[in-house]
Amino acid sequence: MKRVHFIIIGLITLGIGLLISASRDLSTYSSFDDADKTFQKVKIVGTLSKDKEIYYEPTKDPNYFSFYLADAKGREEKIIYLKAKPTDFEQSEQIVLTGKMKNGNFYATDMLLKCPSKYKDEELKLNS
Amino acid sequence: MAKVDSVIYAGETLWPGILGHFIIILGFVSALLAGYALLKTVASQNNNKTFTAWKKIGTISFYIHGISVLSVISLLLFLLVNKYYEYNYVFDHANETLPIKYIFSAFWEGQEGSFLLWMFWHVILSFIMFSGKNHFKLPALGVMALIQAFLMSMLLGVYLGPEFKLGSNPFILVRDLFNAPIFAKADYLQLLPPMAKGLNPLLQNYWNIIHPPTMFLGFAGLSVPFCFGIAGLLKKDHKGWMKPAMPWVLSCASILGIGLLMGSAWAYEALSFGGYWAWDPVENSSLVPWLLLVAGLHTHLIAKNTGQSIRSTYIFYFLAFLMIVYSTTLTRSGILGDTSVHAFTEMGLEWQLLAFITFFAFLSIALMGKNWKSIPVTEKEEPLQSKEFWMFIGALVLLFSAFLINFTTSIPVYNKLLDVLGNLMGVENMAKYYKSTPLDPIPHYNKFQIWIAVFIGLLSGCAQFLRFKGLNWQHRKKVFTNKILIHTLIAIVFTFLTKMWIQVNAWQYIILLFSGWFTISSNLDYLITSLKGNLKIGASALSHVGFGLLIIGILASGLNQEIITKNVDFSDEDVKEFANEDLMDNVFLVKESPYYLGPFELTYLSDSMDGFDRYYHINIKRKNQQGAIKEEFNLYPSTIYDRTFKSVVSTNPAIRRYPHQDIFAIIYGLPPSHQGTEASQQAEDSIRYESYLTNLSDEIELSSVKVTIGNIINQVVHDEYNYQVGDLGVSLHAMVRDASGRTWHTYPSLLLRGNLLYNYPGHINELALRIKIDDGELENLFSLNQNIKFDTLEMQRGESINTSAGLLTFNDYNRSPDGKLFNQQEGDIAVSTLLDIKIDDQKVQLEPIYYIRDQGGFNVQAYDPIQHLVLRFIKLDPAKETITLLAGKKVLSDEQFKLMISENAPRDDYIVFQAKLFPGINLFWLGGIFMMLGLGLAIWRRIQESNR
Repeated sequence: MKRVHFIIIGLITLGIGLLISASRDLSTYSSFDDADKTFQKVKIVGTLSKDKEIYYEPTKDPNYFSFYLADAKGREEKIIYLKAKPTDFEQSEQIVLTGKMKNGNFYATDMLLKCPSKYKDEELKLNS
Repeated sequence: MAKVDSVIYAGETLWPGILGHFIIILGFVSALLAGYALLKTVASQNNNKTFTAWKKIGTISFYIHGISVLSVISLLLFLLVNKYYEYNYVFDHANETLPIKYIFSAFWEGQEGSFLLWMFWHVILSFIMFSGKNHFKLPALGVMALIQAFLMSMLLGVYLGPEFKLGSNPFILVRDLFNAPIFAKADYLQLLPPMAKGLNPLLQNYWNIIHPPTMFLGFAGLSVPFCFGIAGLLKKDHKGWMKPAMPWVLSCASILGIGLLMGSAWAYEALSFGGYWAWDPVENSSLVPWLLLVAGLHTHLIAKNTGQSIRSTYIFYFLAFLMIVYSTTLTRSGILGDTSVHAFTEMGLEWQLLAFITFFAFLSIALMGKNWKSIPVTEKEEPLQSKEFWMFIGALVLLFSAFLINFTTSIPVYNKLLDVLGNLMGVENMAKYYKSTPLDPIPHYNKFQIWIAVFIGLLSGCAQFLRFKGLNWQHRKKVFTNKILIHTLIAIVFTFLTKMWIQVNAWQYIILLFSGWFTISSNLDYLITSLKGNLKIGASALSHVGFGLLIIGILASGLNQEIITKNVDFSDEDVKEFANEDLMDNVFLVKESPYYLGPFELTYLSDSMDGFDRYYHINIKRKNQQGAIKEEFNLYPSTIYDRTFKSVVSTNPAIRRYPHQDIFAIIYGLPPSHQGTEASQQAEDSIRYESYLTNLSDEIELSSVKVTIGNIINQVVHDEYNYQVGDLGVSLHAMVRDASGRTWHTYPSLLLRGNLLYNYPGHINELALRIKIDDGELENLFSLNQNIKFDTLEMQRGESINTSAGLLTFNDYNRSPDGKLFNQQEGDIAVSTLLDIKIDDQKVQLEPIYYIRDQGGFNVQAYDPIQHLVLRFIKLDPAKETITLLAGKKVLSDEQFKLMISENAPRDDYIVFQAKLFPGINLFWLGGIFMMLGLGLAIWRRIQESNR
């Protein structure tokens, strides 16, 4: 065994340690039920409830945007996002939120919208 | 629906598609043949005759392949330039409004085009490789041909069974892809152009002209050391391939590095990501191969100088190439859809991509395994005081970094593997085991990468003063210790000084800051003293100084990023705890009313359209503690509309640059009237109007103000209006007066463009007052003027003419008429005539206006309410010094028209605005540039060496 082998073994050990530590950062997708039970942030995937109110009134508060989201289990909750409303919001098919429950509302700290891509095949809707 | 086969389509141009598809197949087959033949040259290298034969076959096939690739590209460009919408690729990526300079961007927007771009660079690089004088080039090009065969297979578009399609043909026709009633029409082609999707406006940016080709040149460059490595293994000459490969490695590392920096710059200054690096999976997947290549470069240098680390050099180059294929698989299979903002969606190429990476992974592993024993290793251990030992550790640390980044980026892959596993075990839904990316990805990556950066900084700082093989250590020991001591001290001092400039509190960051300064200081020393400033051989020192600067730049701009417009209501218990999150960062700016934020005074002054962009003029004043203005400047952040002005698709920041920091301004919210026609219409529909019938000069009494229509203008004079030839329009000049006598002016307008009627309401935000002309009044308002019988009069100054209304005298010109009368805009050239009309001793002054706006000549009539005389000033003849007037009498009975007025209209003169400070961002760019200069220097040095 040469010194470099020891170093490699050392690095691999360190690597495994770091990976274990890194994988603690990874989370699983949660539901609102899970969010109720914790004070920690969770990540929720859901769809926009299009029949419920989507509220953004910048004249009153430019950093208050609220809407309703149905999680994977179908439970709907009011989401409060303390930022401006994204322009393509209504088109989103799926929304990934990070945040936590507070006083019955879900406060989102991060939001990722999944929008239908223009690459996606869609029927040509033309009444010709 | 059954396909209508009997239709003979009109106007289609089918030959390029048929030819293109044929050339794709030719390119694929020739690549396979070239690969086979060129690899055969290895086995036959001892038999001159067969060797020459294989070489000839391989070379010719490769050239056929290269020409095929170039032809396919030319054909596809030809289709794009000439807008043959019958082809799906053109239909998807071009449209009528696409400027010619974005044709290339449209070309590589799609998957097929970007594969072609990749292949294009491979072909160019291969042609250069052919000109090389080393004996590794033939097998290396053989491997390249195989890579090209895999890439070309992505474009084949051949069905190998009812469900299994090999590749996606870029020449496919729209009507072959979709089954829609429109294709029952023989002339469907004429209906396509307005439906064509065109290039995503987000990508219509000059960065998109230079960034993708640079990235793909870098990607293609990664294949070259891979090919040389495989050639080395095949020829069992493990050292020989390294010399010809070196310039390629250096070039590739610098080009890919430049590409990454360009991507950062694009993200920073044009996209609304709010920063230059976000650890996005797509960003990561180009960074990882670069890190591996740089690791390989270091072991390569060790191998060159000492003969050690050949195995690791092979491994690093192979990994770098495999990782770029892996990245391609990730970004193109749609697997990243959940986690990345810029991934492609799936196109059914997943299995092909998987085969691509599997083939080359197995090839590398098998060849490495077979040759492992024969790769030379020195039995003697490298001493601790040798340069190569620490360089090797450095390379391992880079590998480590790449490995950790990949671990997190690959999370969606684990989920996919779970699905596959579930499938095998017969479990329906594996979703409950899915892992998601970290809740806060940026801190997640940072917390590991910070130690990598610390190590690299320290290693690169120390290793410069060591010699390969630890030569002359006894003698150098003292110098080395002294140097390290001095630079530790210097770094401590600079760390301390930096801490006075930016806030660095966490001990981890202080260590990183120290390591950054340490490597800068020691590498500068190495550059200056050891080399007497001979930059030519200071390439590595220069690059490492760059690395140190980059680290400090990241620390400064990342940690000290200050949101000027932070807007937290600390009295609100619910939101207080989120004050430190990246939330509540926007302020609400009302037009022309200043907003005060610490030392800043922000004012949104105006906005203006330029093509599809709307620029917002933001005035910023920075004051000192006494309140005096220290500096004043303007920023113009913008928003971009889609090609039909239906909606806003993107927002572009504006940046004020200083040597030590940037001020970054961006718009996050707009009133509905600025959000495109769709939102604008929606907002308009929700306003409640009352209708009023009125006359010219009649007063409408509202709850708090009085409105008078002063005039009818035969032209749209509204702020939102852009003149087009053929427009017909009419505006009213509405004067609004409150009880105290304050007056406002607004110009509700109607526009008839083609068959469409546009209504431009007048809006006074201060009063929440919105006035529009009822749509039905267009004809009426036009005829109000048309019903008048006009006489044409030509007059000179001072002349009087008797008219039916009385004696008309042209007194003088007025070169600066009251702008309020026609909503004067910048660039207007206006002149009015001062006339008076006299009848029965009553004298009335009239002032019709003529003005030129956007190259069109318009006039504002003057109206005499007593005699009901209408005067229009329609022409000015400078040569004859005459004016032409139309004079006529209004018929009173037709005069009433309908106005819609709302006294409770929401504001439409605001923006939601965010401004940030990025201190030290220039160190980041400077550092990046230094790293690249270092690599460039190394290339130059090698070119000089080889010329000698």
